[in-house]
Amino acid sequence: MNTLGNNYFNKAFSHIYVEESIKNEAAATSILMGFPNATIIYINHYKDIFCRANQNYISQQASHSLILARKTGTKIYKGSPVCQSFDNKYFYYTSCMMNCLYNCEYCYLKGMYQSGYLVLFINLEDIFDEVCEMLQEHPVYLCVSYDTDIMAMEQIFHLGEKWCNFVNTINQKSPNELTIEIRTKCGNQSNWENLKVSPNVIFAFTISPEYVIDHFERGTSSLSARLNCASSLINAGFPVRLCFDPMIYCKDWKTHYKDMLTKATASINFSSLYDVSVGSFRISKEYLKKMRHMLPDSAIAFFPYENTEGFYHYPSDIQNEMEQFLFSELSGHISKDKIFLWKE
Amino acid sequence: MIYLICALYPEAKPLIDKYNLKKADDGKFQTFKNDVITLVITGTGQISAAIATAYVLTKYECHKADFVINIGICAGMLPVKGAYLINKIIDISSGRTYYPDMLYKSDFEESELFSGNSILSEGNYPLYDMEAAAIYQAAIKFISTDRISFIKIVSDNFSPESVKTVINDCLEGNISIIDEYILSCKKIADEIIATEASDDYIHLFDQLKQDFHCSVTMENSLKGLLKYACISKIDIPGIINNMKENEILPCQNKEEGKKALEHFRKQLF
Repeated sequence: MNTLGNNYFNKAFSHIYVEESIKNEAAATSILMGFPNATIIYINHYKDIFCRANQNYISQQASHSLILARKTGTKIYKGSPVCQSFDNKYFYYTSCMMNCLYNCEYCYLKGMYQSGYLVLFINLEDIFDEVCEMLQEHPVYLCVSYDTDIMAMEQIFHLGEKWCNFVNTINQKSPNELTIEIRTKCGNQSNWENLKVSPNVIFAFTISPEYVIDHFERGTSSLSARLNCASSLINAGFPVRLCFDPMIYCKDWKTHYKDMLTKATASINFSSLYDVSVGSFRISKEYLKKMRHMLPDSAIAFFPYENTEGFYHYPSDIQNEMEQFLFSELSGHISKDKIFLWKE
Repeated sequence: MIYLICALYPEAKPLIDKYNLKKADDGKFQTFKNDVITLVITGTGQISAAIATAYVLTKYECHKADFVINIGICAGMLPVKGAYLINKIIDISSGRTYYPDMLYKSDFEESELFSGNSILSEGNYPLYDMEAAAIYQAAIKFISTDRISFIKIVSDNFSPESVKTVINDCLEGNISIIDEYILSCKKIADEIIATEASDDYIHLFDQLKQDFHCSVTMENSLKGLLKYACISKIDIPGIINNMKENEILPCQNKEEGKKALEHFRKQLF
């Protein structure tokens, strides 16, 4: 992967862009107090930075700048057809952050966003209000850590804690139930210390072989850290999901995934899991085109995928072999009805 | 290549001397070069600055790893002879604002810069020039936001009559910090070029497309497979030789070619 030596780059959050209209709001000032040495640059709207023409996502990821903004317009979206709904009828997602501190080579955000900068929307309360309105009509299953990894930045922004508190509060007074999923590759257990346990907050850990983590999931927690963290959360009473998704093809993939499962089953009692998901890497045609442009030496970007109705995936023989292998291995450890296999 | 964009010759002179740049044979704009740096003198004002920037980046075929650095004096309320790396450019003619990325370490102080199209004899802007907004707009057509920088040195507090006497001092007094920045950009550009993917597979493709009896669609598939195999350091000559020994290649027609291409694909995984 094309990465540059970090010695040339400013540290993450050396520069923080702040929308003029929120600069005096408590949520913004309290975040800025955490970065006393940062250069603050005032902007009119976050898109003035985030949506500039001709940005270099890869360079920007080497020195994350932060943008503090207010989210306007629609705040809750219907789940994407490429995302696993886990059979939830009312499947939604929201983005209180855009972009991720981690740098996974296969991440679709590289194709989705023009900028590698992180955007934090400070008006979480407005998102909560929209969720409350929806709960008047029906239950809601909401993914709150898509397009980012909120637990990777829990020490700074405390979004996991705020969501847990909200779920616990709203479910005591709402006519319908809110369930959220927080997807993460973070294994730093101290991030969970202040979180109130809730049966309606599912922590979903992306589980990958060590080879994939070392080569393609730059900056993320190790496999053992993720597994230990998942195990602790199960013991604490949180529902925990393991996501073997996306499976990444590499030489000797079968050995890598088998080793991963051996470690996972040694660390975690699979019968205590909420569920697991399995899916091989897939990405939209548009996103892959952008990824290939910005990662000219990436074996993941230039894998000879098959295109089915605008989505690239591994050739059917490889896709089926990978997914069926893992499904079959998992079947020995967890009930089949708890395994969600990705279907197009 | 590092492209230095200066409005006036006196701004460029200390840089020309520092880097021993030689005048290039170019009739449109004064241009000075060595193997690493190309410096162009644009003349004052937005239109001249935009034209010269676009001209030099087109003429010398700007590469994505290159850097564009506008270095020059400006008016402003900040201390005279202070040098600043610009993090925000406000075009007072159009009302638009531009933000060069601030990704790289430097010892410069940072400031916002107001950019207009006329000489001001009074004003209360921290920094004011007549080229930066135009240079940004021209350069962004060629190069990404992280490769465009603006270094401005305060020559006067809105007393343009005093400028001529201090230009040289402004540049000379800050030449070491400017040099440090340029050297960093050079190292980053070198690193990007060094990590660029090899196009060796193109050579293989030209040979193999005939052996596979490729249609246009098959050519695209073959190119994709070869690119992936090169990146993954798969032994393509070994696979091809094996296919030739087993008389799978060369193919006599498109039908044979399709089967051979599928055989080749399976050897990669």
